[in-house]
Amino acid sequence: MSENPKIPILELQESLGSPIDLEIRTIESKDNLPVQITFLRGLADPTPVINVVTQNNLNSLTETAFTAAGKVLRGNRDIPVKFYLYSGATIIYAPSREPFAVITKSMAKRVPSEPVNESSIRGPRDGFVEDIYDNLSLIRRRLPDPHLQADELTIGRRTQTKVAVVYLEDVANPDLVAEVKKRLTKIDIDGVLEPGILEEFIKDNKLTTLPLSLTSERPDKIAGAILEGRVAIMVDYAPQVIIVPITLNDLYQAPDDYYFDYWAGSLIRIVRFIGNLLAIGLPGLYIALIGSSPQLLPISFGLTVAGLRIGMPFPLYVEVLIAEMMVELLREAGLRLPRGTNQTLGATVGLIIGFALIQTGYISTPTLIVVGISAIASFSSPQYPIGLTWRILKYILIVSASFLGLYGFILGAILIAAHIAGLSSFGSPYTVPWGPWQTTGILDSIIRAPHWLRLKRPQAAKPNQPNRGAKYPKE
Amino acid sequence: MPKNLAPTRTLTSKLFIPILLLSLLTFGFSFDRNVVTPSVGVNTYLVIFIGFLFTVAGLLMIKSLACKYPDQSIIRLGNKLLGAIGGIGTAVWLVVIFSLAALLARRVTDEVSAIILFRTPGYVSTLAFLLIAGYMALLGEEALGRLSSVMMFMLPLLLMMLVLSFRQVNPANIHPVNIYRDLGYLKQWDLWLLVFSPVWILGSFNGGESIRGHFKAVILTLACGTIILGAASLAVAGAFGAKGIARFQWPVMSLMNITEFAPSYFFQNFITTFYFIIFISFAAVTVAGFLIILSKGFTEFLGLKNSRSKLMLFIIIAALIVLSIVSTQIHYKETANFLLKTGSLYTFGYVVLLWVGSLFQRRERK
Repeated sequence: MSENPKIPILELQESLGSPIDLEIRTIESKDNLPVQITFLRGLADPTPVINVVTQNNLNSLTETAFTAAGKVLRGNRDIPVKFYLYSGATIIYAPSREPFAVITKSMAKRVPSEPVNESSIRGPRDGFVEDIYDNLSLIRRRLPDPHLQADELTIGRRTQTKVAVVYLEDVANPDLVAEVKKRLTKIDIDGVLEPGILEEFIKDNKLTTLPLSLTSERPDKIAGAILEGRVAIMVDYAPQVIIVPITLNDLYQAPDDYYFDYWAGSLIRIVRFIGNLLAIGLPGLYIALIGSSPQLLPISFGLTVAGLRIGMPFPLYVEVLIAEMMVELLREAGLRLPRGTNQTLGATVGLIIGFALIQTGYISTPTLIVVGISAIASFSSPQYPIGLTWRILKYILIVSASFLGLYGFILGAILIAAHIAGLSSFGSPYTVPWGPWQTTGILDSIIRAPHWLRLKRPQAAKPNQPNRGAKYPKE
Repeated sequence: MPKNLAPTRTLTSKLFIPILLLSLLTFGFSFDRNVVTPSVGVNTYLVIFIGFLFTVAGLLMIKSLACKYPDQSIIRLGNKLLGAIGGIGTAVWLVVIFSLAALLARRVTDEVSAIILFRTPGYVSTLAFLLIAGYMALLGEEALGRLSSVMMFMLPLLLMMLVLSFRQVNPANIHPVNIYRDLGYLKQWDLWLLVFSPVWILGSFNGGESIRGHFKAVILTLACGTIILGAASLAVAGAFGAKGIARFQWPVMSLMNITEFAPSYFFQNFITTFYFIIFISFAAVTVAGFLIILSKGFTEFLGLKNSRSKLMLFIIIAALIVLSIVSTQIHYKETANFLLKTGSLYTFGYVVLLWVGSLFQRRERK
């Protein structure tokens, strides 16, 4: 404790290396005595603190006086007070007093807007933002339930990222909640910048390419999952929220399915399902049938395709791989191009290159058609990660079909199916509701049963309350 | 992970029953035509029905054993009930299952080599199949059960093919049951014994909880599988014709030839393709199931720790690959294959022997 507040400030400046955003000000109290404050510009707004200082005498400027301005925090041996500068605090150095911090955050924030990657035709248009408290408020507005719990964790040695575990206390399985918290607290890493980093740590099977958790930017989707007894994991500074546990079935569901009529919802899901089968299987099946087992095709069809491939310099599987690589490059380039030009440029370049390849005879037309359909179909899933997974797994089918034709394709498909069957997400089998069979889940799988039939919660998360319409328990 | 969330260690009935059904259908479709002689062709369905009755009796014996000695494997039971003979008996039991797994693998892959992969050496198909089945076995019983449950969605395709093939079945193929006249078909024990052998093999090893607690569901599943096999036999028998001479080489060819919906090549190949998808998938599940049984069985038989069962599985897979590729005894094309006949008879007989042995022992308390 120093009589002259300038000394600890000089020490602070020296220890922090005089960064450009460190601001130090001297303010006079009501009795014209100097008080030093310091804060990081862009993170904190000192106005509330300045108001308190100027309206009170120096003797009255205790920690209690500043509670109206924000949360007051003292430093200790483990966490020196200067650390709170990075949390948006203003540190007050008054003569003959220990410095203390007042949280006066003022960071640039985004207003909730429609998620870019999860737009819908019907339903709410708000999406999560980069502030964990704003995100939690979006959930609480939809679930004003006193049982909605949000437990805080801090992960990341350097980033000290706030993570919230959100669930319905009376619905979520307590073992599930405990397991989620256990896996999160085990994470020892220097920084968490995005929920995807956490996902890799908490996965049941760390070697699989299939997503074992679901992320969404939509509050309605997350609220719906919480109502089913699942647990949401919110990460500060990230608009994506993680949901666990999930099944493969959950990756094909979109909020739109529930807002439209059940006939429309079911049709959309069937289309998605077929689309994903095409995405993963069409190139491999093409190689298997045309390249290795043409005798299994109708004669006229086989002859037509064979005719279009006359004179091709490469074997069929090489053609398919070239076409696939071209599509992947265009896809990746399209993501990096500036907005406004990416669609036009991507389409134009794709058309030109595709046309040129056909004209020069490097790739046949059927190959380009097959690969194109597969590429489009991979976007039919509402969840981007599963589309990425099918993009990776289809190469297994391409390779197996190249070696052993239709037999190889079948074995490759069995291999992938077996791998999927062996996966779990926080103890829930990934293939539920088809294996093991769960009737409640089947009503919300490829088809979307009417809401008046969906009276039981899916059992994937083993919720405490299986019935959706269970009488609200008394306090 | 808390117990509540951890994957189940014992195979529940929800996961066991699909494995049972797929195994039954695999054996039924793959082997029955190889042991069906023209004389019995038109009554294969009847022989399968007799086999069903015997199998129910066998399952009742297994249930009695499971209730009397809860959660005890057949290896332990063999030692307990039959003493030293039990040790030898169990070893032979395991070797028989091993041979059946190899036979099934060759059955599948030889057909693939004949119809799809003309220029690829046969051992490549066998090796690929066994590697996939081995991976499935490595994933464990629960994963296998889940996969079987998912594969049940292929059954409608199978039933569609059967329904299409029924157009050529006529009343001459369906003999009303005459107990006195048809007792003669009991002589075809080698047919139904082989078809139903996976039932008591799986039931003895994996079906403890299911057979004890969900016996009705197991019998119902067995009945459904029997009806499907019986219908398939009827359809195949229908292709024999009234004279019983003409015989088609593959069941699917008989389906294609007798259905009038398939004048076009496309539809015939549609059936062929789906037949292969179904058959290979089901066979992979069955072989994987046998591999799991073998790894557990040999681990226990040799007195090793449970943690060694994965190593044992690798060894068994390697041995199975070698046996399937190298051995000249692993073939199924003969209608009277010695291994098939004696192996399936032995697996049933051993269950009966254990049950008889249990009658002279007191019930064991848990």
